[in-house]
Amino acid sequence: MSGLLTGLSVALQPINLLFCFAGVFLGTLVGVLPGIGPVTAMALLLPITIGAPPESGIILLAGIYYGSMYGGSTTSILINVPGEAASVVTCLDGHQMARNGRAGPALAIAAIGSFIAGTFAVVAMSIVSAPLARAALMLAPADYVGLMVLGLVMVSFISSGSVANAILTASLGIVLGLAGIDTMSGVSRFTFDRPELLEGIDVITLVVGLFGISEVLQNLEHSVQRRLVTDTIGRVMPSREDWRRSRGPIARGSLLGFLLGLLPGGGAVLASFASYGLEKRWSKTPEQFGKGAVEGLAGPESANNAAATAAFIPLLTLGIPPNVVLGILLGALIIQGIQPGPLLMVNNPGVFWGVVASMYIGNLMLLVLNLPLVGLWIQLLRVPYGVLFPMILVFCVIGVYGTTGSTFQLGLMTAFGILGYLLRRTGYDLAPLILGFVLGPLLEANLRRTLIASDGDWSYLLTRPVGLACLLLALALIIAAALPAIKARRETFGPADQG
Amino acid sequence: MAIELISKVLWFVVGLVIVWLAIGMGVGRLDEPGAGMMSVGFGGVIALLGLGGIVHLLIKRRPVQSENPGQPQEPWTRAMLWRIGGVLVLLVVYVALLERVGFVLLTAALMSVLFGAYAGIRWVWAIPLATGLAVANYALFKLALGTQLPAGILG
Amino acid sequence: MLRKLAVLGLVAGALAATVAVSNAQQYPNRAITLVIPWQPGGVPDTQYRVLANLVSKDLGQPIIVENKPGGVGTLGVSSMAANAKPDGYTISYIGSGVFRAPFLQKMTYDPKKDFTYIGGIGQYLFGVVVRTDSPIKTWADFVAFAKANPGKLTYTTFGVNSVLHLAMEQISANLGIKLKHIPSRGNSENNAAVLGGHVMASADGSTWAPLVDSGDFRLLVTWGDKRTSRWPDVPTLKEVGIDYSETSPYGLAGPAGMDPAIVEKIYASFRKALRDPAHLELLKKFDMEAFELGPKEYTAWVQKEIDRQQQLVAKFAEKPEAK
Repeated sequence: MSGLLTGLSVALQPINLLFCFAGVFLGTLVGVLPGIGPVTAMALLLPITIGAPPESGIILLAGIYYGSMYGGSTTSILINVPGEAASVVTCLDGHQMARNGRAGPALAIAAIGSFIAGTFAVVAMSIVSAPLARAALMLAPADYVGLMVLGLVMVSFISSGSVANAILTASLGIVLGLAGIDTMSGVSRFTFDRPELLEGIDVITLVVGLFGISEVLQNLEHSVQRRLVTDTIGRVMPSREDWRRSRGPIARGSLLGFLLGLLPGGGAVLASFASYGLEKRWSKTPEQFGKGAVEGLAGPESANNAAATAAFIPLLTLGIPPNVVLGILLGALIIQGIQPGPLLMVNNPGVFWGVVASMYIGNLMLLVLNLPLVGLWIQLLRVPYGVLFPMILVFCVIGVYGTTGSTFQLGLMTAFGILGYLLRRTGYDLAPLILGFVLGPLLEANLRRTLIASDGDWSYLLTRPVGLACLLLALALIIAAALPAIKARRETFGPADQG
Repeated sequence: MAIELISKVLWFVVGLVIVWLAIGMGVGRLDEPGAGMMSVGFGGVIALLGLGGIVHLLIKRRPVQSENPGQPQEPWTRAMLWRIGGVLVLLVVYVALLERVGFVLLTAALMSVLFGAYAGIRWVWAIPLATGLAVANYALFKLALGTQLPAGILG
Repeated sequence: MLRKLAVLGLVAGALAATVAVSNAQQYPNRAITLVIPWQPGGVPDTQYRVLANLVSKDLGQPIIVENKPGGVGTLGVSSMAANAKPDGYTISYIGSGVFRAPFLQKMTYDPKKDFTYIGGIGQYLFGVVVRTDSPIKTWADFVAFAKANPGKLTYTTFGVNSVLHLAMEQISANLGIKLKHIPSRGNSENNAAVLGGHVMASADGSTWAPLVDSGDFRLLVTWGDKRTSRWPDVPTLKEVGIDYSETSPYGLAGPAGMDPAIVEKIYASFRKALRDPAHLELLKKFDMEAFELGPKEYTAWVQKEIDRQQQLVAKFAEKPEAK
């Protein structure tokens, strides 16, 4: 606790309050603007932070990161364009709520769920960070294989449309994810001798194309002179009923997100998908999922925020960044002459606890910043679609070009837009494709690593407790799906439209 | 029905192409998987499910709706395809010219056309609105946030 | 007639020379674009942005940094060479991956012909670490363990055919040992795999530094020419009897056919920046060293380096199976 007091004394200094506010404000902004994400924003502000004191610089950059998690949900809900892979799930029910004229409550629930989950994760972080990070390291490649398999099986349950269709799109996602130079053998896969594809397909290009462009194309089926949502938006504050239904998902999502967020790789993505699957299984009215169920929004939104915060733990306590964004933060720390790692708490208590404490304050600021401003974002929906969609197209272009600087990637984005439109049009859900894309390469790498280490012995996969438990759970889900009774039940409610 | 069948046939073909390409990457052995093994596996899954779908449709002759009852899609109309195709063509031209012409000019042109032709805004208003938005985007992203955008012939 | 022609030729030559000189004297009169073939935020990106700031002040023109990632650091460089004019207003980071890639994949450029090499900038610090509770205490233990258990000692790098993988294979070949390579997908995964006990050793850039200082990792050997000032007790490869060093130096290049006078002018300014205290401090934080090498020396060095990369690939790379 004394550590946290030290932290508060750092974080409450006026300069740090200012940096914290600037960070979360910019984060919300880049989160809201589709395409441009926290990676770009942080990388561009990195040079500015060099001149500032270390803790102030890190507070600013961290604020951009978790601030963007709040803002990212806004575009997912309002225009069905996820800013990054983790907010794909938010589109499923969040955007449906907006279509049903409940954009206000959707945005409010997302903001409040994010706040609760973010705060929970910060508290948990200040209590148990170091031992937890060590425990997460003990997971062997074989355990990851189990986790990834479970994640992929789960996705066929959460998607709308038939299970067969979900498996088709997930498989396509996995194959797309494997494109590029194979790190294990050096073979170029699906690159067609294009140097642009050597590092694989860029996730931003894929997400922006599949969701952003294809959404525009789908909306163009109708006349564009209408508005996305008529003037009856409803009130912003969620009803008592919404609250009651969101409580459980927020609590479960926070915990799930926190634990999965510790994992390197697809932590936040896996967390949001897992939370959605969990809520859909848990719910007494699963048929509402995909049609604007508030549970399907509250759970994943909380999960991805908790995961985003939990991801700081391996970085600050071990010096191991679990994703690209935190990799940039690692660079920022080193430039400041601070080595994140086991010694950070001892050598630079002001920095460690200052950043943690600033995250408490930042979450509070975000709530204040987001809730009153929710009304402002809703104004966007009143703009006629004919004016809105050219802007969306331009944002998509800026997002992809801004990170890759390549017109080839823009062409790829357009191609994915057409693919996404055709898939939606013929009754396929795109969410499994994204999860397959993110988890496929991780599954392959961990499976092959396991086999190299065990000299090709597949039974080694069954010797690790966590991995085994995940595999068994996945098997149980498959059996449950195959049982005729359940299958019949699924078919009556399962397939829903896609947004 | 027809669309459903065509989509399954396409899946089947895509699956086969993936398997064929992946075999070329080296499948390896089961105890030492090569670069192509996963792709062969999942390409195979795609091909099989596509084939299964084709058989299923041909035997049962189930209408599209039973597969996807949530949102009955209205059939494509000529007007719809013109709208969608038009935007796609504009987007492809935009992408092809972006680096040569530059962001501000080209974006203003694209938006003018879209506002004028799609949103039905009178050209006198569409062009200044589009230009204003293009400049505003450039100012916000390139000048304030530092995103890279091509300057083109104005640079 | 002949005399007249000769005079004319001389005059024309002199004129061309003055134009060239005055071009070089006027250079730069507008903004210079510096291509970084990586995503923003990494070590080279950070270093080049610091240098760009210093050079920009020195030359009196802004330097626009453009990130063009893709193709493992080759795409931005090769498209720069193919599309930009060799007028000195577009230059790029260039690293060993650009020299190696053509021998691994079909590439659209020839590193010996398609670039003007401007000069050296920096080099990395690489080294091998194990977990502190490992029975391997020294590099000699490492070699002894590998000899006693051929193919059992596992190590990780950030990818097959990476500079670290090829270097480890070269070292193994020198010693006559056989190691088992378990590649990861990035530096952070390397550290996690060693810390979690899933592999025995990691060959990596200095991302292990904090874990070495905290006592979680033991640094066995570094790959530079001399010992580091931060870990003066750790020997270099040469000191443990392996005649090899690997620092994967990187530098600056432009499209083929740049005016030598402009090249000199650019590098003179970068040379100043390399020695600037702000840059030296940055290097110290990343435990790296500058790689100061003028245009002529760097060009000669690159030609040799390309041949060396070709040999490394021929001997040690995992070759894609023929289609």
